[in-house]
Amino acid sequence: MNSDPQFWTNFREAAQAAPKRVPTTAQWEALKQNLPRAQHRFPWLVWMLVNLLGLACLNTVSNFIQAPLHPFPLATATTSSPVSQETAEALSPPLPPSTLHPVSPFPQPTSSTTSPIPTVEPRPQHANPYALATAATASSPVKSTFLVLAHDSTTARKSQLISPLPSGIPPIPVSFAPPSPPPTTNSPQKTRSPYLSLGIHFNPFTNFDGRQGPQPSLSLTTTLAGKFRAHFRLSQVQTSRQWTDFSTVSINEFRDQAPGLLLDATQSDKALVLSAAISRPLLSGPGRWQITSLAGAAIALQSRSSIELLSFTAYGSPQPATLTPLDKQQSFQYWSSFIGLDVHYRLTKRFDLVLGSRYLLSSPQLPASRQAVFQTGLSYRIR
Amino acid sequence: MSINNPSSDQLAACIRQDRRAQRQLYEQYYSWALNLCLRYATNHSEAEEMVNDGFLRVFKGLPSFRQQSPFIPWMKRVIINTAINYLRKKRPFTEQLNQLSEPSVAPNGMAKLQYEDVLRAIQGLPPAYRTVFNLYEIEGYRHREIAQLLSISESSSRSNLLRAKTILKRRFQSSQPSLNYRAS
Repeated sequence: MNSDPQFWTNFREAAQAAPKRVPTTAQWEALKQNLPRAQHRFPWLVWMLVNLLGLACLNTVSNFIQAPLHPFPLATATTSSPVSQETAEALSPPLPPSTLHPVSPFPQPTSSTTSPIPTVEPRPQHANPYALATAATASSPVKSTFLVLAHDSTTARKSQLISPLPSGIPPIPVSFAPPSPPPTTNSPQKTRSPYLSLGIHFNPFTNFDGRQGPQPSLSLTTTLAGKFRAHFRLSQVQTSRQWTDFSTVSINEFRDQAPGLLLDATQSDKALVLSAAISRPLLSGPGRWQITSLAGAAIALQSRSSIELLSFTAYGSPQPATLTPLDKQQSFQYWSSFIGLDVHYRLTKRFDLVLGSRYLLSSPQLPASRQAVFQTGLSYRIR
Repeated sequence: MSINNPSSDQLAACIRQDRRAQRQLYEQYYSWALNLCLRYATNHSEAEEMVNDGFLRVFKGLPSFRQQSPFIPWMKRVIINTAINYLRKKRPFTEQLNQLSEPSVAPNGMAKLQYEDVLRAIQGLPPAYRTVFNLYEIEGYRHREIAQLLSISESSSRSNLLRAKTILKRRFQSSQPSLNYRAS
């Protein structure tokens, strides 16, 4: 019976004479969820577009929210009376110590929109770095607000608004509307003395590599050629096995109010990380806090022999790099782009609190669960 | 049912994880893969799970596929292996020999073998018989290959095949007096 060839031939043919079936969208979606992440044909193009889009969105948000959130009227280039360089210089001559008095760290809104120039308080030498002074131009009653951020630290965001120095340097007008006068070549930042910062970062959530916890660091900051800031940083990153030392050199170009550029190189015995970012101040709150948007990219170059700790740079606006190791399988040349927001809050004159959040874009090497970063930091400045 | 191999461009796009190309490939071969898995599964939903598992393995394994060799046999092998693994997860083949489902063939009264009847008859077989029968009789595997694939002995493979065929033929003979017609 079983050797009946005709029967089994018929049986085979019948078994294969199946009707045409069409998959449903739900079936495809179920399969798609389990497929590996899509790789773009032109990853660099996607990366650039995403970065540009992210920056545009952040700037749009900035423009949208700056007016209602900023506590003071801002002098902008669009007003009929922008603050001129001469006016700014005239407003802040160095005064004898006896005439100086501290300025409140919080904004002091003026009561009149027709304040004359003499209502401006020059910034004292040892004023709170976040001191505010208000001024008006000589030709117009429009007020201007000056925010002085003469501060930096390891984990602090070196705001693009920074520029006045303690030695009688005129404050830079704060405005969110471009353009503003570029810093002069003989900027007094040349004379700024370097200082040390002690800082510690803490990642409360799982980072790229599953690491979390404290990252102590020591940094030295100084300025170069009046328009760049150099930052040298020694830090330790705790991996699952040990603490590893890293050194970071970052150079930050000062460009007031306009998006700033940060070039960063970080080396360890395992890798060299090169990165670049654009940051832009979004908001300055009442005296003590500031929000900065950032968009950047990083690439890590490693040797194939050193695979235990691959590093990746994720950093905020002008600030040192944060290193995160990757595991062996993730790549020898790791690149990623990201956008994020940094919040810098001044606790006291010497302490700074930093909150940062970043979201990685187009990082196919990383699982989706590790593409967002949140970290907080505290630093202490030593003059 | 004849199916064509995909183009090398389509395969390259699938390797790049191009979702559009992957979906195209999925839709192109879904029917073929489902009908293949239906013969190994007990029911339709089980077959659908096998199909999606199989396509997942196909897409993940595409980078290692040598494009000089034909795609369809490779894909068929992957999907059959997936189906076998699926069944094996439920219970090893050596433990499935005594499971015999009740005949579920519903003759339609026509004097030829219909796909639905044949499929129901196959799905009514115990998984171990069903798998060996499919591999040998439909897919054309040899007993040695089946033994390696299912981790059973060659004699077990022969025995399972014989019992499967006996069951199937008995079912059709009991429902239809004459089955020696060509299926159209």
